Amino acid sequence: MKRSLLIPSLFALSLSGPLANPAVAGPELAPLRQLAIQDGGRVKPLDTFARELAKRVQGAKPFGFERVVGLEPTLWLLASHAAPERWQAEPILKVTHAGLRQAAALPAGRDRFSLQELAEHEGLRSAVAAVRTKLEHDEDLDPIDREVLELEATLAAYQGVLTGEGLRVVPHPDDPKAAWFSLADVHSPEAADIPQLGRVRALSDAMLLAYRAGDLPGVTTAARAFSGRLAELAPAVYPDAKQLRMEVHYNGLKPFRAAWVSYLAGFLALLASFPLASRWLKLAGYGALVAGFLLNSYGLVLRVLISGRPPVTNMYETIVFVAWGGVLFALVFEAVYKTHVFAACAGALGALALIIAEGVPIFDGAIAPLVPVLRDNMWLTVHVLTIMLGYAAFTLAMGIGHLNLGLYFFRPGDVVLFKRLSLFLYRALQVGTLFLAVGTLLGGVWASYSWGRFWGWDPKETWALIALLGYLAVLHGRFAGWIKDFGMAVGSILGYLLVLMAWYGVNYILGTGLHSYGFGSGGYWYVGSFVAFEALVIAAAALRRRSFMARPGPAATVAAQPAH
Amino acid sequence: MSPMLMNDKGFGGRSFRLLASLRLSVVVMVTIGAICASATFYEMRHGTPAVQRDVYQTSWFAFLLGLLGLNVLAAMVNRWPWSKHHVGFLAAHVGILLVLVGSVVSLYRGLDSNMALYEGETSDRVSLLEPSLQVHVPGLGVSGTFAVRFEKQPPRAGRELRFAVPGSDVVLVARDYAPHVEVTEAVTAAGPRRTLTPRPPPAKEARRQAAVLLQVEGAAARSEPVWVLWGERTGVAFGGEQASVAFRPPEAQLPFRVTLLRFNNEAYPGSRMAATYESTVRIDDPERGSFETLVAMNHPLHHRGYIFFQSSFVEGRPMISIFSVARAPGLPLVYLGTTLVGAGILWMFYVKPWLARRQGALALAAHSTRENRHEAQSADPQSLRA
Repeated sequence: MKRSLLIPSLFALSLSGPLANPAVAGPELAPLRQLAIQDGGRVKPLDTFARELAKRVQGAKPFGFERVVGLEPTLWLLASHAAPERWQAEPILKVTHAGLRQAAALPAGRDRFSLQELAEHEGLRSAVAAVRTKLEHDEDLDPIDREVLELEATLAAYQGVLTGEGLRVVPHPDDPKAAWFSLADVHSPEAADIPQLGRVRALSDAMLLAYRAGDLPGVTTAARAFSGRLAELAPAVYPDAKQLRMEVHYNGLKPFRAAWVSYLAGFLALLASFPLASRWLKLAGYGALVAGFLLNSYGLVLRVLISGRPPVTNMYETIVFVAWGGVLFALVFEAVYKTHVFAACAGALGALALIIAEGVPIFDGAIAPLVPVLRDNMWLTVHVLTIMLGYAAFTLAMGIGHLNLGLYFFRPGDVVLFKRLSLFLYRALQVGTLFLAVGTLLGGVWASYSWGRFWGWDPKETWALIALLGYLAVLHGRFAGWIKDFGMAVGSILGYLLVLMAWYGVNYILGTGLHSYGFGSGGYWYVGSFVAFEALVIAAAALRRRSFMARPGPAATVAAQPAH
Repeated sequence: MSPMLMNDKGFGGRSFRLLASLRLSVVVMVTIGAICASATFYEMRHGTPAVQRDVYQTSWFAFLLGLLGLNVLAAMVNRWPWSKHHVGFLAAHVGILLVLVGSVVSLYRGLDSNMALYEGETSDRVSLLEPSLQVHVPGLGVSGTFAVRFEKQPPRAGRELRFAVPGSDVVLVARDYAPHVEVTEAVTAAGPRRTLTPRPPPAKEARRQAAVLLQVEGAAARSEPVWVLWGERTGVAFGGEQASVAFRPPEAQLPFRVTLLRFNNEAYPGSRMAATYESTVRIDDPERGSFETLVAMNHPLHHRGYIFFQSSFVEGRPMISIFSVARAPGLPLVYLGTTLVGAGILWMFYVKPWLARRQGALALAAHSTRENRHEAQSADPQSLRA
């Protein structure tokens, strides 16, 4: 026991520096990462499990890094299981939510705690008990209650790794629908009677022994033999090695992070190419943008192949898909108009959207099983994809709207550019309106198919309608000549606030209705500041415009021009 | 509508032009949007039944939707005589009308109901969604069902509501109403006894448990007043007869019988997350024979215009499966409307400009051909004939 405590901690120390041995995180660990584990209703590679748990335990880190005290997630998992005494005293659990800390009466001044400390904490215990009472009385939970439950679940999940009860890596030999055996089950006295588990037990012990001895190649060899044995044990249930490899590849590649870096580079290069009039910069910008688009597409394809369903089943996926759709529309528009405005806009928006999806902790990128109503439905797929393409076009329109308002500050006299941008804005709004109108009605088709009525004024469908009505009002106002170019730019931004309400607000602010499978909490601060920022932008542009209109000269014509 | 009215300078013409105006469209769209937006917040506070009753199913909201429909219709009439420029506009706006009309048809000619069956149970009755009071006196052959809306017009002591059963002298009297009661049960010497105590109602209507104080009156006899909980039926002594009163949704008869053979809910392996729930049912239809089929989430059963959806279930032995049973005769109109809206927008935004450009190009080409021909003719009249 002494030995098992000592060696992994030394081992962890040796890896905790910034220059942790790259070979350790390299391909040698593949067999360990590709071990299958049953968790959260699906079978996934240990790598995915480890990364998800790392995120839950220590919170999301900037740029999506998941190392725990310098250890690669899968190794951290193995280390924790190999030396539970040491790891339950390690202050790795990060609790930042102010309301949660207050509700659980956690000590002020630090936000990292050990498992042991939290599990024995009186305040947290009574907070959990209070929420349980609420649940029993069927009362509504507030966001802090949900945080309390989430923290409790995280503690249980990590505890499960330490004891092995949460490591359900051994498939049931006969029953494909049964729960898998955990490492703790395999070592339980009852399992001693099941002959098939003997070798499984020996191989899992070998893996741990090799790890405790600091013998990484030994771990790899044992892991490979272990997974081979498990596949033999339940050939009908154990997932295909190719599938597991693909998911580990996806985890390691982080295609959406690579895509936003690429989009951002493309945006900056295109932005610089305007004043510098550099053809090379422009080409480089397009290169980066297209590379980002390909990475974005590749990531989406991988997700579809891993999860076996269209990539629009939670908030995270929709944001990633909207980024993709926005860049796609921009590239199509570029092919028609050969301006570089769309490309630059799409680069900025694509980067922004993916940074939000990857960086804001409330958007969970984990692949989880679907609730029954979302499964196996063509209309669902068609309707959500269509609406998301509408959102994508409106996102692009919103970006161009900002450029348009920006002209009042940076190029106030450039009527030609202003008119041209207004035309682009109109084109993007048209695409968005087409997709949102059709998508909303298709939503009705899905609803009449799955819920038995075409339209029931559910908040989600109501807000989609409100956004659509907003944009239709803008387009009809333009047709009547009441709304000119300035009004269109403002409309594209105000309309986008409605889209945000339909997209994010219904799930995270209203939190009621039939679309409850997507609900969550948090992020109000971000969205609130976005709304405030937009209000400022519009107000500033309106003031600026008034002062130009009052002044004689070419600038006044910017806004006085009739609509197209 | 004739062009005469459109050009009419009088009141009729002026109101028609207002009805057909873009100004009205924008005002109505913005108004509906604003009302819906506040309605969703109202729903967050008070729950879905409240917002349905107080906003979406009110006559003023129907009026607004009707106004939108009239506006769309008038805008189309106003463009008469139509030309091929109007194809997209007409398709999109006819589509909107069809969606509205189809919804109205489904509302008035359709059915929205529930059916709950335990495994092995057979039924040909569905319960509708709106509340009603019911009275049955089997000995006298008296039976009556009355739709009620107690949230708006509750009976009170001193202002009771009386419902006379047609063709008899029996009257069902609602004496009092409590929007929310607490139910306590105690075992006494006379058997289990239930007490209903009125309480302040919780904000969410789904949590409320309403009760009504009912009494059956006749020419010669009257029953004791009795509190009836929402969804329940209670027996009362009425003169020498055994009567029953109920406060629950009325039922409707289906032209066939449904038997729940098996109910199956499955979780994702190794978790408690529901993966699917499905019911195996048998339909016995006197006209179309019997068959067995599966009803699952996203796999509804269509039979003679009725659609059965797996909506939920109650865990237990035997399991109870709950279906939504709907009939939406307006649905084909709505689907057609959806298609037309999509096609119309597509036409307006993309096909029409493309046609215009092509026409422009053709006109330009024709013009230049004419010019050339003109020059050629003046130079060499023979070449044209060749």
